[in-house]
Amino acid sequence: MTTQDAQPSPRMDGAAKLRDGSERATPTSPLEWVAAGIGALLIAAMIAYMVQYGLRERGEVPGRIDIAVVQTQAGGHGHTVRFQIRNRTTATAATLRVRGELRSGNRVVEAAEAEFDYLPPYSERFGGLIFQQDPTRFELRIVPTGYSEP
Amino acid sequence: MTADTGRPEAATPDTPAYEDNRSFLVGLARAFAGALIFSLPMLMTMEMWWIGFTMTPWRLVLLLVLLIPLLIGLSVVSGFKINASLHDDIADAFVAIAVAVVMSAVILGIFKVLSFDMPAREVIGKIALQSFPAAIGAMLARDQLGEKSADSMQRQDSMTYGQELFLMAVGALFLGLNVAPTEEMVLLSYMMDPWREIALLLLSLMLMHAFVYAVELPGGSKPPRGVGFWSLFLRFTVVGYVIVLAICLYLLWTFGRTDGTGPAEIISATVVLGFPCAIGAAAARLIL
Repeated sequence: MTTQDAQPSPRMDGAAKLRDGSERATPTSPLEWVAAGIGALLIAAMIAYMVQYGLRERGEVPGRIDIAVVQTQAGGHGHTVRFQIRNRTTATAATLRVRGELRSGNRVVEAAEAEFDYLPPYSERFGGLIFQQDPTRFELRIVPTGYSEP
Repeated sequence: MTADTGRPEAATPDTPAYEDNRSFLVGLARAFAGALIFSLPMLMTMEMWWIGFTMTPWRLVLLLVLLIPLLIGLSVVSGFKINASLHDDIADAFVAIAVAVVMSAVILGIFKVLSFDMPAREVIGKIALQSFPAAIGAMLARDQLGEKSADSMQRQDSMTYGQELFLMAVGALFLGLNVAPTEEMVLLSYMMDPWREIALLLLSLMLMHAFVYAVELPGGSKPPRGVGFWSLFLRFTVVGYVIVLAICLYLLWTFGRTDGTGPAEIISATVVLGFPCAIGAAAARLIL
């Protein structure tokens, strides 16, 4: 910053500004300084956030994935089980596959699969599994079966 | 961004503040338009959303830190008005960032790429990554959408060699950023055999030189009449192409395309991305 004026405050009066020989220079308006301040704050905040995130981040494996059934609905092609999937780690899982099984004791009666492009850190996504049989009559188990690292 | 509104401006000490604010608002509107035009292809590219949260936070930090001097430099080199001091260039740069962040957040929100139930890391990552091209667009807006005054033309004519190269670098980013994050860069490098890559490299150089020669880089760096083909070729085309490749490599690394990739594939992806970047660099004077 080459400070030419005695008062480098953003509230500076345009008239008080020195213009080194350039006739065409218009002084920066107070509004512009306000906007510039907002911009500076925004980029500083983004950088600060990413730095602290980078410091906290450990090389985690996206293993802690929680799955919860939201609702089950009959109709259309069968029974749709809508579920929510949550990532509890700082690692991203890509092409995450989820498999749902209807079990009767040890026997798998029916299985369905869903795939998620991405499950970012600490995020939740929703998906659905479609079964022909009524899931309420069996034991329903939904588990992640695989992912790739982006 | 006090844009030139075409009126003769003699900034007399008794210029009322509102006059100045008004032209700033016009400039602000231009900046929004520029940010949008420049970054729309990237706002609608899925890799840009994903890379926003999958990339290493440190690379994103580096990108944001580099953005600041890049914008200030852009303001100095091709800014619309002649700024009284570096002060104003710095103000311009941060205004461009503010515009970029607001615009990216709004558009991504409308696309539902961002929503309120997403974690901070995802939201901030996506916005930060998109802000990079958007801020460059906001900065260029005054030159692109504003009528080129005799002033700014004259300024472009009196560029130093270093400023010319800087403008070339920005031109490379201008075209290259549209495709750099996409999967296709890597895919093309897998598909192309070495002979095709060499052909692409030579084609990049040829087209680049054609542009350099056609635009006939004026200004302080203008070669005197009768300067040899080789002088122009070596000073602008070759040096420009080296800068372009360095930028391509940096972009590919930033977007995580070089991780775990062999050197041969990295080089070929760099050459592939170098093609649009080279044209952008050579045509910088036409498109910026």
